[in-house]
Amino acid sequence: MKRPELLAPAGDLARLKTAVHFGADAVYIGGKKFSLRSRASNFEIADIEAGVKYAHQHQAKLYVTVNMIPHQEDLEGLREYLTALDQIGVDAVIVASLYIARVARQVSSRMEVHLSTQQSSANIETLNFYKTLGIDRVVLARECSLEDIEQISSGQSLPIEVFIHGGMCVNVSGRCTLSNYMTLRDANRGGCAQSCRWKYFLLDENDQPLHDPDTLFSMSSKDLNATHVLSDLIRIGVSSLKIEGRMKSEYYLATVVGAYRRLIDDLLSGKSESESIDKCNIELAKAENRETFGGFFLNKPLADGHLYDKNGTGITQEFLATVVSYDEHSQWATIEVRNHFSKGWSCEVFGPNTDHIQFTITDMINSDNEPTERVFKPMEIVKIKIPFTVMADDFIRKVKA
Amino acid sequence: MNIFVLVSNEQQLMFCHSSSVRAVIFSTAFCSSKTQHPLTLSELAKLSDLAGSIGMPWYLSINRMMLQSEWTEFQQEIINVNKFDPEGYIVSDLGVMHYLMQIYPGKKIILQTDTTITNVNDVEVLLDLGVDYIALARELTFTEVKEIVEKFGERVIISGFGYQCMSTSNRPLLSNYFDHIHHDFDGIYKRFTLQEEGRIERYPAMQDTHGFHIFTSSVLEIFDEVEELSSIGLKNLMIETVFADDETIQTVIMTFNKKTDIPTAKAEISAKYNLSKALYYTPTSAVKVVGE
Repeated sequence: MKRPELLAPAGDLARLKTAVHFGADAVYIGGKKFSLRSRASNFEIADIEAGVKYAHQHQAKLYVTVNMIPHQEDLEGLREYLTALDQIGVDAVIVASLYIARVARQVSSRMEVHLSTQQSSANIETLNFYKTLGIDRVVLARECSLEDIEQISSGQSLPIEVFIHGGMCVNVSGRCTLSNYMTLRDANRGGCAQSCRWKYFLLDENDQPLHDPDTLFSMSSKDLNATHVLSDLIRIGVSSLKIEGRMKSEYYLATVVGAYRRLIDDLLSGKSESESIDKCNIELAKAENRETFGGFFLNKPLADGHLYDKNGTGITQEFLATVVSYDEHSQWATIEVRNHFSKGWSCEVFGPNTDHIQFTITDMINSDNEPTERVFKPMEIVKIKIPFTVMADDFIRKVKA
Repeated sequence: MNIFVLVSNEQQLMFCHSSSVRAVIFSTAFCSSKTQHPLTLSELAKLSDLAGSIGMPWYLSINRMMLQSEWTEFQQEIINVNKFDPEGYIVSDLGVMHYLMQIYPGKKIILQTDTTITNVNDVEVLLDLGVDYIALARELTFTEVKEIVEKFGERVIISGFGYQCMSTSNRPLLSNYFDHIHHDFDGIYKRFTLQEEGRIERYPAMQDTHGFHIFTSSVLEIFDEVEELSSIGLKNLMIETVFADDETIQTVIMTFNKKTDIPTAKAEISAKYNLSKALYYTPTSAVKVVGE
């Protein structure tokens, strides 16, 4: 079977490095201009250049989203921006506007042009159309079933990219203006207020209530989880498996990218599918902030694809620190603090080459080189005893009861 | 002004004929969404026959995403529909557009507003590719519409009246909700209303066989603005009929055709519907302005 690309999001350079470190084959980021997800900490050109260098040094690719649906005023500087992205070595741009696609193709024959899911591509003819425009890859609509994807792939028109994990728009992408009308924030230019996740009264034709007062109507979708069909997606020949979430934390990325990296590698190496999926889902649950479901892959989502009564699940584990270095002889690990923790806590270390090993914190030394019972300053460099070998850039998290 | 309007029965068609409507739009349950009264193929045959006999051009609305697994059925439906000789097709899926251009090169193609065309440059690209008309995106301001109309007034269509569709989901959201609260659901094509718990606006909504659609709380009307748009080259208007009664649609058509004066029309229509200018004078932005 062909090895698909694992494509991860990143909101800044640190998260880009995390995604690559935990096994992403490619990372997609947004620039300060022309990109959706306006609240994500998007990249300046210099940051993008640093990201390209880092990614390429680690045999990964870097894609830049240029995926807003632009109004006239947004187009100023487009050609210069795309030229700059080409010159610094960006591997591909992800676009939604056909005009932006055309300009991208004009400024570079090297840099690939990928069609965003904002265009809701769902059939072979759409891909054939984009092929005539010089598009290199199409991100399929999240509404596609496994059957749709298989048929599209067998059409061998263009390489396809499929979302496998993360937040789901309940509405067809690029065709939702709820946020525009309800909050004056333009969803198609990155301002989505997620009005679909609000609670609504539901009335009939005569304005009589139909809703349950304890469970109001909501469109809020559970997040996507494609572990159950991942082997099918690989078998079908999907070129790129995409994780959603440019606004997600480095902890989320480390967990999710790492989990899917292992699952893909396990499936390709012939390990037990059910065991590999179970292992992956146990890991994914440690970073989930919403319940997940199987999307449209096997059937149109029913009631169990929605969050009517709650919006979050509560993460089962908490990110505490990253490893800076480790002294095998003394077993002291130098770590960078993210969240407060204390002696006696049960923790787990995980990394691309460190296999989820648990331990209890017995000894700690703070940044003043003094023994301490508790650390609480984010980014403080401290030392803790870890009774087994860990690697730089491994993550440490709390194991909750 | 060339007016395009959806019709679903003979009376509506004959009124459009008598009112010099440029073309009517028909819908079918398989191809169309966001309409309460899609036609069966036999109804379409009858209406298209009548349209042909009175010289009224008609289009089929294919205003939804077409999944690959539906493609064979879609091809068969189009073969059947095309026998009735439409002037063209109104599409929102660019794959559908590409396919129709190849198999029926003589038919006109109108891009539906869901294709979200928001600037002069994208209009130009799509016209270059052979599209005949483009219905502009809903989220444009009046100033932005004018900018596009000045360049391509004969080739774009703007919505002149009606509830504007704010969102489309491929999920059966009403059925799903009723399943969740254990209520029976019998509501395909019916009008429901949503009201966010902290707001006063009420949004009409409906579920059809393709999914769930939410519309604006008030009805767009641009009777006054059309005068200015016409003066800079606008030639085409779309009238959205969903949730609107026939009498109102007739008034709207007569007003755009200058057979009814604007104050009279507004008074008549506003007695039944809340009127608004949608986002014409309230620009939306990419970021949250308040509090940042």
